Amino acid sequence: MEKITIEESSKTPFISMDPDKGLIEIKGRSIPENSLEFYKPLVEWLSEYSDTEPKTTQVKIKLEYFNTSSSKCILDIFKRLEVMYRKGWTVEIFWYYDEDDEDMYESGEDYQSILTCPISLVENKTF
Amino acid sequence: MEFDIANWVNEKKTDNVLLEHVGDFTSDYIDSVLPSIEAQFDDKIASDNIRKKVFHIFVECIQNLFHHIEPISCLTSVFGSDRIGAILLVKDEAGYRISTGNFIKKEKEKFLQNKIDQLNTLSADEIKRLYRETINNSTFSAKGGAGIGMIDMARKTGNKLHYQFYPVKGNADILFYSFDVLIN
Repeated sequence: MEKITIEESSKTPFISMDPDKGLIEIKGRSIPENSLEFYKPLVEWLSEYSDTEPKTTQVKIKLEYFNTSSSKCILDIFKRLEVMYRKGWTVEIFWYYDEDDEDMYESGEDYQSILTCPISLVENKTF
Repeated sequence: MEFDIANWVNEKKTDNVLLEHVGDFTSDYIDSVLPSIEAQFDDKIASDNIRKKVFHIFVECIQNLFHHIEPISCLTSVFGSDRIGAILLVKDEAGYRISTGNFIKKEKEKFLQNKIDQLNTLSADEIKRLYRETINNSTFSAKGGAGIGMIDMARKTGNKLHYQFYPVKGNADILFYSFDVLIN
């Protein structure tokens, strides 16, 4: 299956989904008016990716801003990853936030509280 | 149809207006206004945390207008468009305030009123719990849904949300919905 790369725009994040490396990266701002439309191909890619039975997947996500509709779409992505985790495959999610960005830290905690798949909150780092 | 948006704008204004817009809220308009808002932040908002909060809430408010302004045909003769809303970002002694206003069908009044009244009774922990439940269990449409934007605003600001419905003379089916959120 093919790698997805989407360049960052003023309202949407940089996305890289690499099936060979088992690496998913999301970075920047996610404030599109229509988040469902933006994230739909990514959710579909994950379905196809899951069918390849990947034994190890790493997800790195660092957002500067995201709107509430994006927060729901990101949860949908995490839920797809959780299904893979429950199959016994390794799924590591890293949620990056700036040192004094309490809101972004809390968003990471929100996802931790909803999902059983482990999410590491990582302060002040880029990738 | 009679409702004087200019009066409403004047009521909301302070000596320090960072942004004022009355008209349609298209995707292109939002694209153009966000960078100008951020440019002003560099000069006027010292704290990085407040700057991020104001921008975040501003995006939610302006996108609410984008999604929820309803075309109302009788507005065209007054404004030249049937999709009219208003937004102000001002600073006053209490902090930064975002006010939005738009015409809605009267049937939406109760839903909005109940949603905001309920949020205003909740503690910070209860709002956090409601946010998590809503994001996890609700179905969202392309327009958003379940009032998640309002829950998020109440949570991030820690302040009560204010609203008012103004009657529109000559049209009992329409109200002007005014919404205020303070960030400090």
